[in-house]
Amino acid sequence: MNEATTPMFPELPSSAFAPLSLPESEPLRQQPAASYWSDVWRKLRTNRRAFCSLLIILMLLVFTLIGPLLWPLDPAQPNLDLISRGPTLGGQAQVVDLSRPWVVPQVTSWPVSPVSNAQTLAAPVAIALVEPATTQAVRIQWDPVVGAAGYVVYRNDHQPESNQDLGLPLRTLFGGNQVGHEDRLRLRPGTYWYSVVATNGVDESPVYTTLAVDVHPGVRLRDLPQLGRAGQAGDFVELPAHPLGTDYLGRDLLARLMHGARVSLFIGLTAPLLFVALGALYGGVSGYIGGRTDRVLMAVVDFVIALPFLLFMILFKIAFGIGPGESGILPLLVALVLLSWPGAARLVRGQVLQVREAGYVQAAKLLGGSTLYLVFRHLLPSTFGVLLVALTFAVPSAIFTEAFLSFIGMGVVPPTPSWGSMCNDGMKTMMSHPHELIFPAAMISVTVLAFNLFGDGLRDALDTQLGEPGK
Amino acid sequence: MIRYLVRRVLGGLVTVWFIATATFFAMHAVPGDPLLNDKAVTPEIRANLEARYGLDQPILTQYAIFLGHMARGDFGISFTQKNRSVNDIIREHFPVSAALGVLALVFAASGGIVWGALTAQYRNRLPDAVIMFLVILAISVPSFVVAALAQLGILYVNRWFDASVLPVAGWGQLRHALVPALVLGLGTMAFLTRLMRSSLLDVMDADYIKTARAKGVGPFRVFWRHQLRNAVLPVVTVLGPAVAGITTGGFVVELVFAIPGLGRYFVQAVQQLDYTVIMGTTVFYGAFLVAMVVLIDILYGLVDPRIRLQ
Amino acid sequence: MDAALLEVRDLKVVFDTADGTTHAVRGVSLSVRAGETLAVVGESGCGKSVSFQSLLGLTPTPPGRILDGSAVFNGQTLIENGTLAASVQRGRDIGMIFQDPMASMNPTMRIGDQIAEPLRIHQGLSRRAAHQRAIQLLQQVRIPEPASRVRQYPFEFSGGMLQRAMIAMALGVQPKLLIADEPTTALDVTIQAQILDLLRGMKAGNNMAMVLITHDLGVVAETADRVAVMYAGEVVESTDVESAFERPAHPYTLGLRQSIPDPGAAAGGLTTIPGTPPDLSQPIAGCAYAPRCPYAMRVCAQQAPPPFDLPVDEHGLRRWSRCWLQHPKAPRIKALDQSARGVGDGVA
Repeated sequence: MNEATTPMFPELPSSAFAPLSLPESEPLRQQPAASYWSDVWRKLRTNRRAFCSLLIILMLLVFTLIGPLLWPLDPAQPNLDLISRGPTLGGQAQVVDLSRPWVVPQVTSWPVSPVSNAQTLAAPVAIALVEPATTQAVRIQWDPVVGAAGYVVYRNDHQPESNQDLGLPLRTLFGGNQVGHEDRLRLRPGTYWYSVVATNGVDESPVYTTLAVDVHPGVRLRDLPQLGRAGQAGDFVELPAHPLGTDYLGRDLLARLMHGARVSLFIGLTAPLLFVALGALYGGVSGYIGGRTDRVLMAVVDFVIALPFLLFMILFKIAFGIGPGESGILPLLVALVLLSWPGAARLVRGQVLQVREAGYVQAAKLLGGSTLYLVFRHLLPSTFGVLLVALTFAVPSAIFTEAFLSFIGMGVVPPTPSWGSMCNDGMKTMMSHPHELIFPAAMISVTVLAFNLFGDGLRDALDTQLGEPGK
Repeated sequence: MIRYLVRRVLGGLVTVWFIATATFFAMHAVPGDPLLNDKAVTPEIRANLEARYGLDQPILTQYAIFLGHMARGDFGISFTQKNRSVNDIIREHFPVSAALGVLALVFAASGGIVWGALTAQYRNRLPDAVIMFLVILAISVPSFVVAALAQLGILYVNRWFDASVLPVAGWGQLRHALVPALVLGLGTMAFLTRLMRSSLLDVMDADYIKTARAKGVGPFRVFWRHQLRNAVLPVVTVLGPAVAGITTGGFVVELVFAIPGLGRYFVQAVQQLDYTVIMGTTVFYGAFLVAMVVLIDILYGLVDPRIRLQ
Repeated sequence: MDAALLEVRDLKVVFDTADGTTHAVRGVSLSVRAGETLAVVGESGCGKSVSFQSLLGLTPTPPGRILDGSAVFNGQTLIENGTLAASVQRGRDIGMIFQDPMASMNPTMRIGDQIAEPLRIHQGLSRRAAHQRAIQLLQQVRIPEPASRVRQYPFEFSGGMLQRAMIAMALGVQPKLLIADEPTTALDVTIQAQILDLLRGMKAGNNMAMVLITHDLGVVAETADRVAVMYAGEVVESTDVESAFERPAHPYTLGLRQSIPDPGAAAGGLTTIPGTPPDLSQPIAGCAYAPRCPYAMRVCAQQAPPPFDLPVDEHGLRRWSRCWLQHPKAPRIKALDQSARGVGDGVA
């Protein structure tokens, strides 16, 4: 390439070398000036996780505020027929009148004296239901066995294979003329096998008779008003559904979750609002005054921050005490606010110190802006972003604290439901009925997750003032 | 370094004093009469009891006596178990909590560093997304729920293998502690993973990493010698709050897994309103946590030459 | 003409960001001969640093990505068809020092260990030997009491001393080429001169070539043999240092030269180049400098100018300028050298 090549120039018309006239020059492109908050909102909207979280938070609010109106079951109404049921969809139930106590049927003239050898006793015959079998009661009766001095009634959940497989002994009757039994022991809809064995008063006969009984849902006549139904014995009524099941007292979990959400979210939203406001005021004043006052005020902040948070939450809860009939929400709120404000105070103070020295505030001061004007026009708005993020992250921790305290029995007092106390209740039956724990735990987790993700998104969105990353 | 040490220790002592004072006055603000909690007491017994617990003195005298006792490490006698001193209770139950806590902290720190390093290496790719989602999940599920689910999990595993693979509850051997410690450390692990990730990402973009690579240092050595040490520094600073979290988290985990630690005892004392035990353990826990924070500050000084040498 | 030590052709580097692709380096061609000092000048963000960092594979990937181009160093392929060759031994043949010595040294590692690191990696020295050599090197860069300094941490050094240590670290393995990325920008003016002196001395002592990335024309005049002027991700003029100051052949070089405060000129004030560099995430039509160029012509807004070859310099090295004003039909500008002889290949 070093040898003299013919110099080449690109062929161009002379007109190409005319000065660049203005219209041809690129017009200065102006970015549409977006306001700070609309920019934040745009960033939030495009952040899929944060936006979904926001939707979840809105749905939670709807669940809390409107839910109880649409789902009118009483969260505090126990129903001992429905203890710890899994999710059910209601369905039909037969009304039974159990107002008259069951009397064991007796054969009045019973001259037969008991046999001495139980081996010789025959199996009872003619076992039959006395009335329709419901989950409220199964009543059976049979004919007396000659020579019997009593009977044993068994119940099993499958067809017995031998006299060793009769299942749960329900009752031992003494007297060959006592020929009936009422079973009200935790009956569930389904089939049960009742077996009756005659005895000579001491030993059981080896032979037995079994009756398969289909048990249908039943509801007591006197419970009808409570359920908002009307009817007579023998009628079929529609039972309320329990889409999330019931708790250990038979209370509807969905209704309790909704009312518990009111408590948990009330604490989770109110406490942060209060302590962030208090902290902002404190930190703002401290930072604005500055100097010695500031140092003293901040020393107080340092001490409060040094207190082990949960220990002192417990301590304060004890110190406030709970009177009879109170829910314990207010002391919880006060304790949370008392212990949590320093974080916001530090944040706002730092921000105020920074902004106070900023050129535009100095300029406003120079132009004669009053202190109040400066605080409200310049200092507070500049801290609004950080406060909003702090608030968002304070919500999950407040919900956690409520749940933790309620869990160890130091939070909301029964029967007021809160998600934490519901978890506490659910723990007791966790091994056999995990749904009682899982639903409230899921509510806490989803709420906390949503607020955490939303907080992340908000923080990222608000960072715009610090400029885009990269060169 | 000596001045740094002295300043930290003095600050810690003042904080402990503040905690003790706050505890004392909080407990004295309790409405009602601590002695009248359970049964009717005759005036004589009552006077005896008041004398025994020093309740017949004016409050400032009580405060002075209380501070004196605290300074000597004497926490008094339990209200509900009248023949047991709070010191005995702490001596008996705290080692259990400490063993569990140390194990949890080991799980949390090692897990946090490993997972954090992994997510940072795979930044914005699938492993990162998966781990970070699990992290957020772990932060969002209350510890007692995790504990309960873990217990349920053990139950099912045992049922599946038809053998006691792991104990569902209790205390005594290492296998009793494994799952509770994991549960206890989980929140902290998630928190540390998050911190480690952002810290590593900061460090990865640092100029001195570019320098190291420009020198021809291999990727493994760059990570080990240059990134990790600098990234771990901020993690060390949050170990104080992490210890606090693990300590209070212990309340719940000990309760759920029936571990005879001080946390469970404290919760029981709270439920029984055993004032001296509550006061004693609160001050003890407070002092312990402050000591941990001071210790970690000192540890940080050792790790970071900028502090060590100034 | 000597074979070049480093020859880069048409290097293109992009950064993929959320808002699109930024073309940080849009076809850089340049060459460095053994023993010479090439100054690469331009405003910040023009792709000076990125070009050389991507040669060494230091551009973070993602978001950075070499799109195209090739680079040969000492007969060895660094980049071919936009792919980084695996055989590059960073730090051994090419050393690099960075702008901010405070940030460029590992804060938690002793100075000595950091200097010893390349020695141990590339020369296989033992720990003890590397330590001894580190002390020697610190002495060479004129750091007092090197034997105790070697055990210190970066925060115990001043900025100037750290930059000396950086130089010691980069030069310990005697590379053939040193890339100095704004080595004096972060330092006090008095220290700047010392560091430049040191660099010149070390360069002569090691018979090493140097690429000096800077935006300080004063530094260029003092140190460089040749100059590559970069604007908006490409080299717009490549020339010897004398011509760059006396006979600039590109309006941007002229603009840069005029914006040096001249103590000789009376109250003339500072001349600045109006406008800002173009947004590299948008496609650029024609010459990137046209919107700011006082001599812009119609063609400038339509077609990107090719590299026009200028007469060779006194050492017979090629000079060229990417400016339509070099076209014979273009109007004559008094302050510009418009002696192009045709279109070359854009490699100096």
